[in-house]
Amino acid sequence: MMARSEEKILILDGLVSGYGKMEILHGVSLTVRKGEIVGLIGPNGAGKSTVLKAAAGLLKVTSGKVIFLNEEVTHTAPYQRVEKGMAFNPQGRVIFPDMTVQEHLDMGAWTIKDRKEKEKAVAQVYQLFPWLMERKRRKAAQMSGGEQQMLSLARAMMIQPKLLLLDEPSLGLSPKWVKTVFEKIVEIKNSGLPCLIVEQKAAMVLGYSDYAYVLEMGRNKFEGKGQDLLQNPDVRRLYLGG
Amino acid sequence: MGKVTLRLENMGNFIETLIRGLMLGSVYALVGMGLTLVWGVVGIVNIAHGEFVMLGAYFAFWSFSLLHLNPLLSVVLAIPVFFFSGTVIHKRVTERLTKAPELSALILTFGMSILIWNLAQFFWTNTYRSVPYLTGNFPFFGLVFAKSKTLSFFLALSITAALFVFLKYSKMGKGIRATSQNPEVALVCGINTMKMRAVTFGMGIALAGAAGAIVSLQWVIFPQMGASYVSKAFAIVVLGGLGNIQGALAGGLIIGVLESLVTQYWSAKMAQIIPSVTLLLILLFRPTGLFKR
Repeated sequence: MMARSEEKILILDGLVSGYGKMEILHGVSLTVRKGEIVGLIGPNGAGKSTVLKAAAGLLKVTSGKVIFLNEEVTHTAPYQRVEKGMAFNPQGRVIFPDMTVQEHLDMGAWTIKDRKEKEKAVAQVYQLFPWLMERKRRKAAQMSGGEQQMLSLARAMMIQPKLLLLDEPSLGLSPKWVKTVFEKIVEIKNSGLPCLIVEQKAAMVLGYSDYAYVLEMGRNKFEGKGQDLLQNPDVRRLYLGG
Repeated sequence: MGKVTLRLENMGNFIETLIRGLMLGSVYALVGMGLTLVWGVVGIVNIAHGEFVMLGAYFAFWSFSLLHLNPLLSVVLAIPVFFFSGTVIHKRVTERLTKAPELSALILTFGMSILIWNLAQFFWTNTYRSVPYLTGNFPFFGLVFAKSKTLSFFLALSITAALFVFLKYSKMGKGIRATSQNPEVALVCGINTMKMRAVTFGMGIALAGAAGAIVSLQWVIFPQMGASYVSKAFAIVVLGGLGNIQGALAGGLIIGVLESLVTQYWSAKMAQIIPSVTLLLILLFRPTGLFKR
């Protein structure tokens, strides 16, 4: 097994956060390193999605630090984190129903000011998702759930990010689409982009993860290489259903 | 022969009534589109929307009577003036409402409405005013139309077209649509959704103000005039589907035509209940509006 890269892309250090007065995270720490898929699993209500939202700046962090590319961004506005290269694919309804494929990519490129750079990004994304090219003018509402998830991924890729945060990309998809989406994520990771993935389908995401964290009740519970956690009897018993 | 002429005359009358309705409706549509835009994107039900129609009318009136400004110019000027005021009002007053429960928005904008028309009453008195700019009619293929209303129609249509082009093709227009359709994803695209909401609020107020300036060309102006416009606007918004701009355009035209038909073939009094009756019927039978999104 290769050792984890020394280069840290994202560090969450003792995050305390939640919704209003309701505290969900009571001090969560994790690290995403260069070239890794990092999985984040745990039972319902453990605070997995909350971790991503706090990292992306959608939730206020009351204590702890978010460090992205060696720079503290704990209290930076979400759109400024996007400008720094943090792409976030939220959970659930991830699209603008009344907008076309091309318009989604335009929105993904919102922070790119240079026109040439934007055209380059569009070309790259169409190369990564060639089938979107023929559906440029299709409205997102007319696409299947799997296609919408892929479109959302394409939208997130427009900023040519340095880090991709994915919140349950498999949610509501057929097994075939789940496989397609995850194969695309691995392809993206192999091109050099680290990903932090929150998933309900724990065993599956551990299989894809270089490193993974298990969360329980808003605290770190276990961590280790994806394969090691898959073999870990405690993890298997508690989180993978035997 | 006599019968045929009679029928033709009836037909001409009917067409005239229809077109008059469309002219009326195009101005209503401006008011309605402003309300639905703010409702859909900012999430605020602006009860005070009609007061900005009133302020727009007074804006045109005072610029005409004090500065002798051409009312056409007032309509054009009203857009940036009301847009800017709208963004300032949003930043200072209504921005805090975006995360508050809907009832807070209703109460605050209701209060704002009362405050504004009372101030108008205090400063400008209850005197009925008008802008005697374009009077008289002109014939058109045997039909007769008021000059002021025809001009209003073209002004309203131009503003509507400009709004549609802005929302469809400009970068900010797309950002506004994105914010309205999925605020969370808009935020993670790097869109400053707070700014989009302020701009949208400003646009809503600008539409109301421009509509008011247009209204001043054809009807009397008084401090309480906003109430009738906001009730029409609510009917239009519900008719077109909440937040649906094209729906509001169609809704405005429909209300205008209905009012015009009822005025012509029944009575002007009955025409006044058209908006509330429409609102009631739509809420009973098609609460999501006439159009599919």
